[in-house]
Amino acid sequence: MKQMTLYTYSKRILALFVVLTLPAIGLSVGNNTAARDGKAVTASGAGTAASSVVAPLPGFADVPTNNPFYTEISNIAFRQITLGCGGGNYCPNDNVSRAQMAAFIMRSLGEFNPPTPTQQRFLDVPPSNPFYAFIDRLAVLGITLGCGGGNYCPDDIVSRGQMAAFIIRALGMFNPPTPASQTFDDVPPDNPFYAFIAQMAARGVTAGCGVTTYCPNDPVTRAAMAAFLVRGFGLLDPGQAPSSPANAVRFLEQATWGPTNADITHLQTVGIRAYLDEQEAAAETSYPTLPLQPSTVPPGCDTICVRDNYSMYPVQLQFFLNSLYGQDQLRQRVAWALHSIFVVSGRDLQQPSWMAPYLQMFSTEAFGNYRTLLGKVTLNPAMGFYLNMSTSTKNNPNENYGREVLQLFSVGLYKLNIDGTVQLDMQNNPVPTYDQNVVTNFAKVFTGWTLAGQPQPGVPNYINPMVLNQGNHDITAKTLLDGFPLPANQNGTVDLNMALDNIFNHPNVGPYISRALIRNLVTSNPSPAFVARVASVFNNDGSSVRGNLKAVVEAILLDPEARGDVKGFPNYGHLREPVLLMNNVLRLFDAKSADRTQNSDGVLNGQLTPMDQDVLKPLTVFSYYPADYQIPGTSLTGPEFGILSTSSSLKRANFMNTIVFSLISASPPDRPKGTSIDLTGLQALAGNPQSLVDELNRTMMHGTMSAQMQSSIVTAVNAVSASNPLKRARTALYLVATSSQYQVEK
Amino acid sequence: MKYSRRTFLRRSGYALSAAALASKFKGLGLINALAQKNAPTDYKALVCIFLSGGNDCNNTIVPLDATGYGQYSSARNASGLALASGSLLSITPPSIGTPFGLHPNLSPEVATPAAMPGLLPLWTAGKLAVVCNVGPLVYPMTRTTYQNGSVQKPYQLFSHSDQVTQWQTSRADTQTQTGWGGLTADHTLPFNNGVAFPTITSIAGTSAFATGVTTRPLIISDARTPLTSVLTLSGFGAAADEVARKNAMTQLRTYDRANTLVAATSDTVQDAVDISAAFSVDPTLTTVFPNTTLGNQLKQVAKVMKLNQTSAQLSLNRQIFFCSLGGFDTHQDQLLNQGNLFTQLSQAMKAFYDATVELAIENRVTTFTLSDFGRTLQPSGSGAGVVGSDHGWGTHQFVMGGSVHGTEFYGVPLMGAGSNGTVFPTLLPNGPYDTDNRGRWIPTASVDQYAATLASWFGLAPADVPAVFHNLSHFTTSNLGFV
Repeated sequence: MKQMTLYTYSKRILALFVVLTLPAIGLSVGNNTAARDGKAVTASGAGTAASSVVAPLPGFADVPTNNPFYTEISNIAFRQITLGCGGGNYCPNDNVSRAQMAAFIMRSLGEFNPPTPTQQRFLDVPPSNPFYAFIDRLAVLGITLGCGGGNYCPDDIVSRGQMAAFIIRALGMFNPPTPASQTFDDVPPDNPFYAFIAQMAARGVTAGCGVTTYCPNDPVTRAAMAAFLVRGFGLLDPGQAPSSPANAVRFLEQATWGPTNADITHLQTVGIRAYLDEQEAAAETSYPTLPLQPSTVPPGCDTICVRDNYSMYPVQLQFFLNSLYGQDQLRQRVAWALHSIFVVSGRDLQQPSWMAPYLQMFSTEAFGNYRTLLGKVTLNPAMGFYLNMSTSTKNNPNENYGREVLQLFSVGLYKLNIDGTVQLDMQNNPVPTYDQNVVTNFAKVFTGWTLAGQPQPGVPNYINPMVLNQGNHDITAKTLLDGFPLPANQNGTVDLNMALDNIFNHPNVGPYISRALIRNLVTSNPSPAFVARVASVFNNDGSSVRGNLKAVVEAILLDPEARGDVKGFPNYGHLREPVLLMNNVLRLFDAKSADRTQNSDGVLNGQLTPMDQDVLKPLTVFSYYPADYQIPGTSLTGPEFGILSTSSSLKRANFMNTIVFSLISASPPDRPKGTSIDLTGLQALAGNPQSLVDELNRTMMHGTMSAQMQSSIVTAVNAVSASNPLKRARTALYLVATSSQYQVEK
Repeated sequence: MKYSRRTFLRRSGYALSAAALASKFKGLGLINALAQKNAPTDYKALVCIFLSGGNDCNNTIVPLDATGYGQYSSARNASGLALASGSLLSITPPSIGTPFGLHPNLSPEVATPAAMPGLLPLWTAGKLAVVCNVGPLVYPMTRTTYQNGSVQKPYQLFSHSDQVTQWQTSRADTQTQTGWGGLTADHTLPFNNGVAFPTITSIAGTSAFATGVTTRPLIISDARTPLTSVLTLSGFGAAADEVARKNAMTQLRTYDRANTLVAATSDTVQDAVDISAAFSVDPTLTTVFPNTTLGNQLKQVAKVMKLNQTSAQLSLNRQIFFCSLGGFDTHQDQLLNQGNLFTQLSQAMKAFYDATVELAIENRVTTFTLSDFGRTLQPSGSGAGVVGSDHGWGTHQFVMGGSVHGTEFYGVPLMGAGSNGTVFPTLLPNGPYDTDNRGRWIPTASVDQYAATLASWFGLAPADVPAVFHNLSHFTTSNLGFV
């Protein structure tokens, strides 16, 4: 298993070399020259690094492929954890200083640009120290306490014993348990790093320096550092590492509709890799197969009949049941993200039977190939109706699908670098990906398709893919993206497939789709390097396959910018959209019916509409909120902020008031069972308000709750009589759930 | 509270006097005295109705002279998109002198006397004007300069999101975060004498239009929610533990602001809490509004205006409102969909005008439409239930109010060969107004000119106009004269 993973990883790196040989991958690197981990950097060294962000390693000159640490060094270079020591070298045999170690560890935790400290912490680390911010972050996280006397000793060499403590603390374990027996002959129980070194061995981070020795007093070389980092932080395959509680909670927030206590425990036990395998293999939950109805509502169809056959009620309900209770959580979450990109809105579809197959398609293809999905979306009858391809003919072409498939589903408006940054022309203007002429030509490609035969007269077919009427297809020659020609007189299916291939192979698709998924799952403002790493996987999954969504999803979730216990950069995270906010709380507190005897009925959309989200019924093809919405007064993207307002922000709190202090009562016929959550677990902790807060900090904020936030909540809980543990639990949960600190998932 | 108040003022206003800072609202006599001394006290409001999706101007107003209708009909009749000349509501702008037809649903009571009235009575009474063929431009542009690329084009023509942004920011050359409504509010803030209640109220969510450098809009739901309930935080009573919980909630909003997203979220909630105190009553109107999406939005606007008149906490001298009606992206089935939308639009606008009469501010309120773009003259698709139109560019907009110089068309006539000498485009594919061959009209009037005319009426000082309308100087006329 491990060997195979290694092999896969190597192939991925090889694939990157291929990418590098392509011309004009212009990339900009953040201003992190000062954060270089190596020695003095020459101008030429900086230039080399700057031009090779995607694959920083055409090979370090001093790390030949037969270097025993070649793979590990390549790995951390790929992840930009190292930029080398200058001059195209890595200096594998040099020792690691404490300062360099700070950068190595913080970058391995995903923090590439830590915030500038507000004041100097260590006497011997002035702001001019190139590692100033990294060392401060290391101290903020409690990984270092300094070397005594208010100093950090940045230039001291790190010993292997010391490194064990640093790495294990960075992994979130500050007081490792005393091992039952001694692991290494040269590390007796009285060694100050005894327990830490045992942890290193237990976690597979070290195998020692000899058969039964660790050499705790030897210095750590840069080569060994690469190996420690890769193994310690699970960088070779992050899923292999046992998951810390906080990392587990974070992962479940990103990969599912919300952690449950059972899932947190399970994930910590099996690790992320095994959890991913389980999720990818889990049986796909379904939308109901609803009968197609006549497009004219038949006489005698009463309120219930209209609700079930001519409104989105049945699919919305099933959406919530799937997201609350489905075992295929990762699939459901990715399907949601895809649905938010490839929008068909239930506002415009007449029948739920038209929507259900469309939604099912995203569940089915969540781990499939983007090209397959693009083909299915294009010929799906609901999409054919929504963006009017089903009525577009050579004599009366309709541009709607031709335009939006380019703008929203694939390449976007501007040419992108692989890291998602916009390409600029000589005048510094963004370069458009296409013009109106290209849209007109794609519109011609998409002519001639129509709904498949009606199952019964008057009942349109919204189940089967659209079919071609070649007589209505425009057979003139066409010019597509980047001047790609389609010859005249082709069959419509041939035209369609060539055109979709033209889209699929455009270099924008990787960064465009990768960034959209990253924003939905992890963070609104990913670093360009994060986008580039994922887009590289989109372009080639390591087996020369382009568009492998499973590989893309894994690359996102396993990326160092997604993993780790905590991310501290000031622009990190994303606002939980209303549906995510609600589902997260419902899942964590075991949502069931109002009377707690059975599952919730899933009639929950009415809770979201006041928060300006109408599930499966976004306002337009531009989805629930603008993908590039900028938070006013900042330069940050915050798509979900597009629906956060003075009004909806209070509605979010009011939903929490309903579900925390009360419940969603049953109200037949439309809401037969209602929904409630279970706070008995929290109630049991209410005797000690700090315990209550600790539990919410663990499960809802993966340990990021600040001391002052904890203190305010404890004060509020103490104001509630100890004789009312339920109200204490509710008070604490309400305060966390309504806090901006929680609503922004980090 | 002290912190949050200061933050709110900082983010919602220009520099305020020390006296204004002394109180969040305007209740103090001292500030009223300042108001009388330093600023005009007349009331003016702009009300934006955004027709989301791109309203097809070609079926909004149709030329009825033989040549004009003939051109229209030959482009649209075969596919079934042409409106019958006899169904149109005939109007004649004096400056042109030939008849045009309004879409019949813009005054549904003409065909269906029992229906709520629409816009024709306002046109007749001189309260409604049309601004023709207006759209985003960086510089004046013709078919020749469009096609040969010698003049800078607006970025990403025909794209919904980009064209919406350009209408709302009045910047066609580059993307900006601030809208002309928000910037106008920034610059006219002194009119409001330090009242902390926001100048801009949106009943239609966030928008670039309402975002200024410092201005942030109040965003509330429509009139189906009473004003007393639009910004309510549920679940807090007078019990000591609930007071403690509310205090903790307030404290949490001031913590952990190092994360920009957390700070932005906290600020939004804090704004809501700060403003909520102003909504202590729910004013009633005698004017009956249609119970529709836009009807309820404009009803809420009128109620906020009445609250402003009657509440000592508000008394703003300048207000801007943002409403929106979606569904105008009529690629398909346009006859039905646009018709229904026009019924809704016209009835809601007429009711709103009547409400301003009820409030005796009809001469102080100017209501106007914006929309993504016009649509192609040449249809998309064909036949009943199918035919629609694709994305275009220049379009016609309505302006309504007692100060509007109504019963007239405005705009900029196209000069030179092929022009018809009026502000209304010639409906001819491949003609002088067309970008290509489908009838996407190159605007003759720019958004800057249209918007600057409205903002100048509102009180934006001439010296501040260039800061709000960056490219206005590229055009010879800075005021189109309709209000």
